[in-house]
Amino acid sequence: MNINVEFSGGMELLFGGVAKKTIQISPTFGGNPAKISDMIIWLKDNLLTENVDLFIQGDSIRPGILVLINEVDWELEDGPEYELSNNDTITFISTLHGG
Amino acid sequence: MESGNQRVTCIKCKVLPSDIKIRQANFCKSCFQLNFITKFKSNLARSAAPQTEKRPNLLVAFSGGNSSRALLQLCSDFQTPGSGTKLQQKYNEMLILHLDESAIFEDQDAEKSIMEIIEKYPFKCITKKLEDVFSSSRYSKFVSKTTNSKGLFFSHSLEKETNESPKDLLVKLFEGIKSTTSKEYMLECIKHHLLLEAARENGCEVIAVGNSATRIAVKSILMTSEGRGFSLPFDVGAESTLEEDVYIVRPLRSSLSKEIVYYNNLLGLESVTIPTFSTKANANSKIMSLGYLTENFISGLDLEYSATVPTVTSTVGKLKVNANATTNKKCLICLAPIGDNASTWRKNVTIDSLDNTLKELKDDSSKIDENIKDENLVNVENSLCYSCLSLASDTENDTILPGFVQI
Ligand SMILES: [Zn+2]
Ligand SMILES: [Zn+2]
Repeated sequence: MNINVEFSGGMELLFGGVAKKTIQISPTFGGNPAKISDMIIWLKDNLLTENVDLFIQGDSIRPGILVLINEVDWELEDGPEYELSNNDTITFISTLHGG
Repeated sequence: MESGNQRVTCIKCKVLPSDIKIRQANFCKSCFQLNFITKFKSNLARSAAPQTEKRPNLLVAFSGGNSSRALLQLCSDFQTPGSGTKLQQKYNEMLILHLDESAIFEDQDAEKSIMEIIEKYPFKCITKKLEDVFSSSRYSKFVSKTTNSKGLFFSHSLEKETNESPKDLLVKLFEGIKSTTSKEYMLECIKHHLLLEAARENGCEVIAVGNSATRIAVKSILMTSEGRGFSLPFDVGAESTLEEDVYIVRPLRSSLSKEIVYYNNLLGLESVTIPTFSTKANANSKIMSLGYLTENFISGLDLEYSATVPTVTSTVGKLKVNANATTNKKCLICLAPIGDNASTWRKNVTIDSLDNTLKELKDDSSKIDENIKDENLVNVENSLCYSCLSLASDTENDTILPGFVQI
């Protein structure tokens, strides 16, 4: 299925300067519907160009990165457990200063 | 969106599904925006300014980053409200200040993008370059740093060394500073100095900077760990009155960085990411600066306990400047007040790196004697705050310091 991913606020620097991209990922992971957490691992393996610690901490996304699912805070959805639908737009925005 | 039907209703209008969670409150887009702008306006409206006959001029510091991007838009709206809104200007004129960091980070694209954003606004723009602190037309003498068995000294540099271009001197300065944490700290000092200089040169009594609540919390913890707790209220309080003629205000101080980036996203305000010493260091190694680690720590904690940032920020906001702090002399590098007890306190606290440097030099006494003969040397141990002592001890001997450092 197609997922639109967007990076801003400095996140794009972790992905080779790309601000927007449509990716094709499998609708299922390990027999279960694809979740955002699966997509994050996919992004890490396929698109991430910088140090993994700047994107992932432990088994989830680094604190300080705001994730929007179709313009809605993922904390109001199911967070990493959210099940992706075809053509969803997932936005990653860094709130970190970096200094 | 279909999933919207299941979302919690907005806490404010109680009609629309919520879009964003701020601390424990859920807002729809428009209620979020209203709440965010209201907080900014009330912070700015309540902020003080030096006593002058006329309305003060406002200088808005713009780095291109998320916070200052929001700050620029909000200040612009505040200064020139749309038609139909009652015009109640607090400031006479608004100017935009941009600090050009390309000399050390060599990012011309970032510079271009920053200028493109500034040009969208109808305000006068002032650009200062980092290397201006080495301008030979502005400063006739520069000092360099020496550590020997007798302590820490500054001395006037030789003429031939200062024939180098300001940019070369700036690059050399940062090469001469060992740790990423100290480099970042020196950069902060330079920027702070240029901010004040630009304000004075352009007749601005008030400077607005983009520090968010999140940034203030990170900075407070960072400064405390660097030993700068003494000057905390000056650096991160609601407004700094360290200088009598220029006040620094922080109208985004009650907004989380999450709110700021969400606002930028809603309005389609693009920001520019400037490289930092941390991002550069991170790209090459596992060594992280104290600033990076503190930021990670605070954002991680805030995710688990949403009261972390407000608690740190409000605690810092309540701190009062020690009466001694205003009457005592200022640090030669950062201009923060040095307390009465600073030198005594320092003697009772082990400063690892400085002590080690001194020890190493003591063992090599032949070199020292030559240095001591130089009458030019001025002992500065009691003229620097604790952070700047740490910075100086983390700097190679003979490194030429910015022109605002004078003996
Ligand atoms: Zn609402
Ligand atoms: Zn200092």
